[in-house]
Amino acid sequence: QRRVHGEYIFFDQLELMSTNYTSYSQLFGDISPYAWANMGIALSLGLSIVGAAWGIFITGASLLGASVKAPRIRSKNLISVIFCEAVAIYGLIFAIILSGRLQTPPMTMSPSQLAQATFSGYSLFWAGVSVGVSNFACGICVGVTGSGCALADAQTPETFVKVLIIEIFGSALGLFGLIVGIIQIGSAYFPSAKQ
Amino acid sequence: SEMCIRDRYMGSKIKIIKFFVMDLTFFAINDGYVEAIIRGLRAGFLTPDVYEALKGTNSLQDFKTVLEDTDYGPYLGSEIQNVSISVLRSRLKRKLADEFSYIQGQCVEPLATFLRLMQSQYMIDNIVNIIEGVKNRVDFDYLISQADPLGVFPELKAIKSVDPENYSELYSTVLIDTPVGPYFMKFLENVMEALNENISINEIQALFRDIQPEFIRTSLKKMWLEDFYEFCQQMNPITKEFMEDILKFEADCKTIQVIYNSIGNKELSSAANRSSKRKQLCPSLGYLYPDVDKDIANVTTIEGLRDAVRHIQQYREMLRDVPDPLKREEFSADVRGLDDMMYEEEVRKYSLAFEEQAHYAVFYAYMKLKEQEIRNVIWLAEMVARKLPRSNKGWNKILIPFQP
Repeated sequence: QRRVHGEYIFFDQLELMSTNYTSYSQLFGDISPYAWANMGIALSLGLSIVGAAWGIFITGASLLGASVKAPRIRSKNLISVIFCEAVAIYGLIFAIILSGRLQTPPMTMSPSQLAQATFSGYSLFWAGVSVGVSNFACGICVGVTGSGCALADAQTPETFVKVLIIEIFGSALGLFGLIVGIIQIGSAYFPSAKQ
Repeated sequence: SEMCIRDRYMGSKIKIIKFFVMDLTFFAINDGYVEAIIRGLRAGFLTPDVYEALKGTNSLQDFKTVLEDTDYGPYLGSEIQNVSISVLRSRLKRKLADEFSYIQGQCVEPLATFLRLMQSQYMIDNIVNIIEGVKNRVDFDYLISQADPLGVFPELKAIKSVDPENYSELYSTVLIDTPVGPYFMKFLENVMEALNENISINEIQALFRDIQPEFIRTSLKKMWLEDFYEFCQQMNPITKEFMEDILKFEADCKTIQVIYNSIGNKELSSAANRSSKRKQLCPSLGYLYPDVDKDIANVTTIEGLRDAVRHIQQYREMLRDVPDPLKREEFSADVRGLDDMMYEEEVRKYSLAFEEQAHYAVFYAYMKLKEQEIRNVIWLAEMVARKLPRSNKGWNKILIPFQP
């Protein structure tokens, strides 16, 4: 990070464009922590929603087909879709929490504020990744299990509850990600402009 | 390759998806709905209770009443007092054909090609039957009504307009447009190849006229089987695994049946014809191919056949109790023939296909199991119509799928 007279200047585009980087660590180091933070928000939201959507279409296709011959399964098996939806909501909630941590940066920062911002930036990014990836896997898992649940229920009604238990275990995976993510951003605070 | 069906399908965007594993996560994109439909239809199979009720009926009318309570109800309802077995059979087949035409309407590639290949075997049957029927001056409308509904396609009616004895013209005008056209082309090429170059056109026509329909049918089915196998190699791994096993077994059954049926037949098992004609009828795939090929080619007795398949336990057991075709007195209703053994093993394999999700073999298995069910029902209808006593062993000759 460049220091100019003991202060750090953000978003000096001309300076950044004319810099000659000599190593990748220098390049990565110059990425603004706010970029990291917002990317983390995007990843947590986007990956969770991709996982949830994937799960919903997998289970939805099977549900549609199976309910043609066995209409009684329609209402019960919407629970699988709701579980997938919950995965998307985890991602949404976490993204809102992350957005709350972001503050408008001051024009200049002292080195301690800079360190705080850098730490928070990385923290938010990787917390977003952990929530996003675990929800992605969770969504697909619940979707595949849900499709199996619909097909099994259409044949033998007694199997519905048993397969639902498998789905509940599957949806716990998303919760794990959410919990770890919240712990990760525990001490991530951005310096605000008012100070 | 000459097999057009596979070439027509290749080169599409499915090639790209081939690099992903089309397993549980990707299967539902294109085929989730139709697979779920098939699984829902699985619930419509007749249970052992229904079979017991059918066995207990005294007349065909009661028989039909029992059937009306099952999934077949809507197809049997509007029948008049005297229901005949052929009408029953055609109604049951009609139901299966309707189910499959619905599924064909809902599916996309590559399942559409898979289903078309699946039904090609019935198309072959229909075409050969119609050609033979027209040759023997049978009424064309009657032939069309007797055609297997699973293998009906628009060009079938066009066979009427062509002289059935002129095979090459028949092929170039009518059959070339059909989905089974490539098989006919290959068949014609094979027959031409086996002839000398300096045979006149008239002799070729005479030769085609003399070819037995069974020979045509078996050759075409062999080509179809090989083409289907090639196609299944490109499918997702689960489909490939199941279909490989099923098709290999079917090919072996065909091989064994060809040899078995030709044991008593002097013409086919003579040394000259053994390598050419008989070989032509045996598919070049299966568990017996190519290791046992040479042994099988020289078989002339049932003992020789049993000896040739001794390495594979399944076939060894299957052939152990089968009656000798040379000794007609061994055949009776009690003895389980080769067909029965093969059906039983096939039913077991098809039932297993339903245990796995995200593959196409369920469609094939469903069709075959439904066919077996129709065979069961018609068999029981015949037993009921002839009023045979319950002690007759024929009552137990039915094969019920999904039995543990």
